[in-house]
Amino acid sequence: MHNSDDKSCSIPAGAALIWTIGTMATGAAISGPRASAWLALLTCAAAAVLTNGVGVLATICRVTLPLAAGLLVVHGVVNPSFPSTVTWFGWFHLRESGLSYAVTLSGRLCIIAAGLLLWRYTKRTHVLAFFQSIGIPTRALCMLAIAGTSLSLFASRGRAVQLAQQARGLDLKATLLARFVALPRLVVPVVTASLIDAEHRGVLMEHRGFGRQGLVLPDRWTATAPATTVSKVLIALLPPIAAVAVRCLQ
Amino acid sequence: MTLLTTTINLAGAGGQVFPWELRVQPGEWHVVVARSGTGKSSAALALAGIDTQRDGAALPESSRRPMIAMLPTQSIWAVSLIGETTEDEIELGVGVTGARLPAAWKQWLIQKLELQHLLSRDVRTLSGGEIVRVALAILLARKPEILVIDQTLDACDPDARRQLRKTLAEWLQLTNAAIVEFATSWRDQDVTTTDSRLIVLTKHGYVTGLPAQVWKTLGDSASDFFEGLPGLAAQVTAGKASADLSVTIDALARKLAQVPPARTDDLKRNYETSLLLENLDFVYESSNFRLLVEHLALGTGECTAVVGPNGAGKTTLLRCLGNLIGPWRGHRAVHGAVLPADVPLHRVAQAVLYAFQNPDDEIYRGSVHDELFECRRNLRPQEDGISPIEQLILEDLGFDPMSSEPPFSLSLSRRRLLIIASTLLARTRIVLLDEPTAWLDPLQKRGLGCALRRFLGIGGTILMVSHDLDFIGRSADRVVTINNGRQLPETVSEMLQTPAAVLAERAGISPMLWKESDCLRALGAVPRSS
Repeated sequence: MHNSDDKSCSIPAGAALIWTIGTMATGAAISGPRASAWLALLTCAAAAVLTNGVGVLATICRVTLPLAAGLLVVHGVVNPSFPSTVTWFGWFHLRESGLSYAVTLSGRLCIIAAGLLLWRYTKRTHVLAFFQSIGIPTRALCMLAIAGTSLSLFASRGRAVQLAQQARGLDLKATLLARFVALPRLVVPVVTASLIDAEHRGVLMEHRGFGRQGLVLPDRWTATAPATTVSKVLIALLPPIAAVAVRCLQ
Repeated sequence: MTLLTTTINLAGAGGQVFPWELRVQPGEWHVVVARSGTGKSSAALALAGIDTQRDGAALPESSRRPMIAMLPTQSIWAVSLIGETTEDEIELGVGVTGARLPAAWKQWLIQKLELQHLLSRDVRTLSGGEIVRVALAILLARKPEILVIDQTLDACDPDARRQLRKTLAEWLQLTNAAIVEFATSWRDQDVTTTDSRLIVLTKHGYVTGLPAQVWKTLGDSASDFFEGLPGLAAQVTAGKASADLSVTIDALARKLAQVPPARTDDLKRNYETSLLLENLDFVYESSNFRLLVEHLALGTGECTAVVGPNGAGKTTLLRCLGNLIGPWRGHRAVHGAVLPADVPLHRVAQAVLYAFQNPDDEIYRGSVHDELFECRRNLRPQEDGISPIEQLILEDLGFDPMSSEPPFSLSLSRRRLLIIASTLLARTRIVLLDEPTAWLDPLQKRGLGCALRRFLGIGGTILMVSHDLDFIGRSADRVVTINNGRQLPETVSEMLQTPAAVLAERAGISPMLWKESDCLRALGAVPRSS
């Protein structure tokens, strides 16, 4: 989820929050005013590219294009619930409303991908420092922090299990059926070991009094978190800006 | 002043429950030794106040429970993993309580636990021994009154362990706190403070209060000794051993320690090379750590141990050999045939099989039987059945090949042995073992030593990474030392003048019979158990 790699550009946590919430909410909530979905997409992509280079754009394309292509074929050509607009060779139907629907879905996918990438390139220490500065309660802060790290732990556990099973002779590059059969060998250890880990860590953190009496973050986090004040102002301005933007583009 | 007086209910043999009374005073270091499966971790959790069901004597409301910190079996569990660096985590160690870590105390911890070069690193990239030091800093940051250690120091190399014990002894003196350490074995050199108390937990009671000389004689066999003699354990429970009984125990322990002299003829065996590695060059891009190994040849029937300090590159070497990391440059040949670095992992496993340190990454089957034959099923599905030698290997490791017991109901040490057994049964002749003795008690280590020796006897080759010099001394034929990513000139230390073949003779009896009290009685001068 959050990247701890120092190579990644650190963008203001507040800005990431605004972009994420704004674009996600817009993309999920609207189906009519398509323009605002595109606006959100452009904002996300621009932010991700500006902070982390054009490589991010390539990643967004790699994630979304295969899905988008599938959607276009399914809804624009195959799905009979959309009326046929053009017919070629007597059997090939082009469905304009289906294509339109597929474009909308693809746009939402792009928004989600761009939002996730943006979030990934934001330092979690900055996010926590920012949340604390706007008064998020300590318990919620701890839960958020742990949820964030749990996902990355889950992912690294998945990689470790995959490696361990391959080291035991499991062929993960064989046929599709073989891969499907191998799925439990990857899923069971990941889930079991993650649950064991989560239980032990949770119990020990509770024993240490985690989140019970407040949480003092290292000074470095707040000192290095960029543009926290700017983020606060942007958060305050977000609702009116979004309202005006949606109104103008409708 | 007493820091804590408590009674913990321990599960004994035959479903019995017996109370273990413990009184902890400032400056004391209690070392609690017990075999695997005795309930050490449960006792540690109860002592720390985490598992309240086992805490047989709840504190009266007027009493204050001292601040107890617990260093768990896997020290990474003590790290919140919220911070991005080690320094973040140390500060959060106190930050989670709403306070700030005083700069002077932080400096003391960093200096004494030698964390200077780790401060800017992500905890998840540290080696096992480094994580132990970081976890200790996190826990000590709060200045607990009692530190409970659950078998954690085993993950460190001997030098690091000695250094950590020294640091903890200094911490005891400085803060007047106390330590209760749970361990599977005990060595005389582990005792670093004069205020140490030794306790042996068995399935029949607990033993404490014996004179220091008796403990010294018993050494790391203490838990086996009393577990094998339930009547004797019962007689000395709760520190009530008479002077006569102490003398008897000492005499018996001395008799058991008399082992035949080591043979040296086996040292000059000539091995046919089964695995050859030349000019290995691997770099971790994230940390710029570089591993260079010029020449490493493993012989058929030979057990080679890789030793070196934490973070030296030992596990990296094993992972390169097993293709678990890459790309690396160099030449690797198995029985003369080149095995390039880009061969798929499952094909490498047919020639070189790697057993991971953490068994939970590998176990997924519903029964011990299925898990034992999992590697074989993947690599050689056409070969079924079990040879007599494989049957003996399983007996050494304490497994019934037909057992339908769920693997996750086994203790951590048994799960570890299960994965090693599965590896040895795969019929891949070259095996890489990462810390095979981690979490094992002395009896299990002896069984493992026997199993490995049998595997070598049928043409196997073993390369293992271990910090356990005792085990290496008894099981390895050769030692390769790695430090800071470089292979040091090979030497045969004095410790290794004892060939592994005398392992069974050292005990005087078959290791698996060691637990039978009849064997001890047969050696004479043993009081009859009830």
